[in-house]
Amino acid sequence: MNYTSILWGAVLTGVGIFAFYIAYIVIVKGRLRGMNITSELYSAVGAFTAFIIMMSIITPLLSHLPSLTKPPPGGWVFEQYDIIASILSVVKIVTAIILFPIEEFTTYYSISGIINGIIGFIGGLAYLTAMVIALYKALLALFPFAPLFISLALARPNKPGSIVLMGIGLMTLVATPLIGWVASLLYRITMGVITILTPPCLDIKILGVAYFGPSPALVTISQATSQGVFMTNGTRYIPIWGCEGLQVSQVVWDWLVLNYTYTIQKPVFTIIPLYNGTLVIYAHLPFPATAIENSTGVYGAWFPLRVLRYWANGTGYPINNTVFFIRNESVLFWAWADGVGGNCSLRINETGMVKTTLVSGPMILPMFAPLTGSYPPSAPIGYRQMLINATAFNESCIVVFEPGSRWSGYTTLPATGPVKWALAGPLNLVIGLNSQWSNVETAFMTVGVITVAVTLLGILLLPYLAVGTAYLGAIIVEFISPLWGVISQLFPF
Amino acid sequence: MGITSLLNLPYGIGIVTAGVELAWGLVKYYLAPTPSQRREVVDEFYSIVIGAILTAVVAYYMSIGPSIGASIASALGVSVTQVQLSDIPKVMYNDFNLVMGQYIANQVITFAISAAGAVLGATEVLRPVGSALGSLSSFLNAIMAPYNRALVATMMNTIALAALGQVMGVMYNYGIGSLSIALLLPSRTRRIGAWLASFILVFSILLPLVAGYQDALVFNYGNVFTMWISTIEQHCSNNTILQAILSLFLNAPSWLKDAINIIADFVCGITTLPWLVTNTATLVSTGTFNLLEGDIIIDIVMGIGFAITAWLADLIEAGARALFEVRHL
Repeated sequence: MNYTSILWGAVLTGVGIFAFYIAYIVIVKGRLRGMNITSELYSAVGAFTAFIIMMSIITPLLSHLPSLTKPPPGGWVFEQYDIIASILSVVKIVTAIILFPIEEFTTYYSISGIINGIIGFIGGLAYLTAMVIALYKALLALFPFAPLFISLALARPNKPGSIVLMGIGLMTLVATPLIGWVASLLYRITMGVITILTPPCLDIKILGVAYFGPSPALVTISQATSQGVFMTNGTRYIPIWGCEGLQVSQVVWDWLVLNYTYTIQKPVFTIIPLYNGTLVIYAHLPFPATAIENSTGVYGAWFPLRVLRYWANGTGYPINNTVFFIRNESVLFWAWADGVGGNCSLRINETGMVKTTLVSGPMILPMFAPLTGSYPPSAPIGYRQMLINATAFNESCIVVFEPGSRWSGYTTLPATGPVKWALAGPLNLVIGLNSQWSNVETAFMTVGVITVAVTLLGILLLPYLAVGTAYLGAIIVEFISPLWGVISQLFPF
Repeated sequence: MGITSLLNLPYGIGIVTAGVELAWGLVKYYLAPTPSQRREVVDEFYSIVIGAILTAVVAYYMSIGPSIGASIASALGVSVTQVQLSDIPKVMYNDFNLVMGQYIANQVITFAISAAGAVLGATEVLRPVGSALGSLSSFLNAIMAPYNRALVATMMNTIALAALGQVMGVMYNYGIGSLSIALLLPSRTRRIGAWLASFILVFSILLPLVAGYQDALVFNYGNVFTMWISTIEQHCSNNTILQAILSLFLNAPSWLKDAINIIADFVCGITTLPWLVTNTATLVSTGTFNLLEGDIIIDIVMGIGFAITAWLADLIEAGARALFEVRHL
């Protein structure tokens, strides 16, 4: 927008006002009514000169100010806020549906507080940005009239209304480009924050989970934009993005990767909004292993793969989940345990028959992890995967499997899809603000400087204008008077 | 119009005052002991005649102020409703009611859903439903927060404009516009007359203009909440399950039926979440920003109006001094 030409139009209007005012003083008051106009003429001419000087200073200054850019779309800011706030609020609804039946009230209120904090922050930022943009749009409409206000104020400088008009005129003239610049900065900041917070899609669903297999398993699900994990213990529903497909990408039990199949059974009818069916998972080891477990968790597994030799009256059977009895048999065991012992001949070989993996809990900020439940350590401690050949000929043998570290976990709130996104919100806010940090600093510093400058100008400068303009006017009139005398001699009418 | 009707308001006070001054001039003329003093009184008489003409002009000006305001707005490319001075308080009151109604409806529905959630949540069986309702109320609260702020700002503006309209209406009805010109004549009342005249000159145009703009704003963006609910209702009117559930409550008390209707509409809206979010974002954000921008424009324009009033008052006083001051010969 070429505001310089608009400004010049207003400057010329101001010149017109002064010309009219001075002509009125000289012709009507001085000539026609014969009044003493000296002091009034001094003031008027002084004010006119001050106006010209001020415009001469301000106009070149304006070319160094940021140009009057097109106002950023304020409606867009609110639109994005509404989208994020809506989705975050629906995450709260989903969280409530999942947590209240299991009476996890504290967890719900914690998550609700986090979400409220995010909404409050971006709401405040969006409102501030929209306010500044709206102010900028209003000032833009006022901008071409600024020199007019200044000329009106200078015409009668020592009056209360003039001081306000001068303030409005100067503020409009100088602050409009600056506020436009601040509006653009704030818009960029808000856009930076909002872009990083924007949800991958606008549809959230809840999926029921039915798991059949060694338990508790750690299930990893993948969607187009996110990956999430949950323990099968405690999980009845998982929140997912409704517009993205879902795959079960891994099922792990005791750090052992299980074989699995899964289906999603769509609901025939449901009164629960957002419910999108049930994820049914069937998982298993390559063989029906016996788990070494007690009430505190799982500590390994073993399985008699095959009886290699069988003598007369040979027998073999499990006594409990860590002890196997054999007599007159040679048995090949697979074991996932800290070790194995027995009172007969044992030949032990390390194996990798079943794939093992490191596991990780939900990929969210560590401080929020306890809200989602408890998860196993990432790596197993004291485990070996073994093939054991135990032979007991003409004797009884007790084979004992030694437990490894504990595999256990319980999911309170599955950190999948939208919940994971919501819990990443505070971090995303920080990332978004960091990316715009220089803009944040500049914007707030500019606002501070403008406020101080306008206040100082109003308090300190304006009271002196009346005196200053009167002196200035006196000098100019006294200088021009002789010249005017010569001219009036030339045109004696 | 009979001659005596000129004594009626709004012209009456000004004309009576001018008449009294004229009578006082005549008394002074006849009692003046010297020709030069009589000459002063003739001067004064001229002043009073000019003042009386100005009085009538100002009274007329006040009556056409709104149309001047509308023309100015139209010239600036802004379409505003033309509101007469005397109608401003009523129009602003209606706007305030509409905006306050939206604000209250929003708060009441949010509270009602939250309270229903708390009551249902107190029972073991319906606890999940209760919690979902509680979250639904915070959903409403979150998306409507900027709009509610804009509504509060609009309410403040409508109150301020209604108050100014009330003042201007009283000024118009009691002929204060005319009186202000009459008050310019005697030197002792010139200052207050100048302030009154300046206020009337500026705000006879500005106030109807701004009130008209405010009215147009409220008309276009003041009922976004109702529009939003209506779009959800319309969207869910084809949902057979919802309609079947609602039909069970046909004989329920109307308040219960309304409450169930609204909650059911929201539940239905949430089942088609992408539509709900997009519709909300578009409708609410546009209304909020435009309302906010309009509020800021009105605040700035009113501020400028008061500054110009102060500036003009001083000019009018000086002008009146030059025009009406009797030169003592």
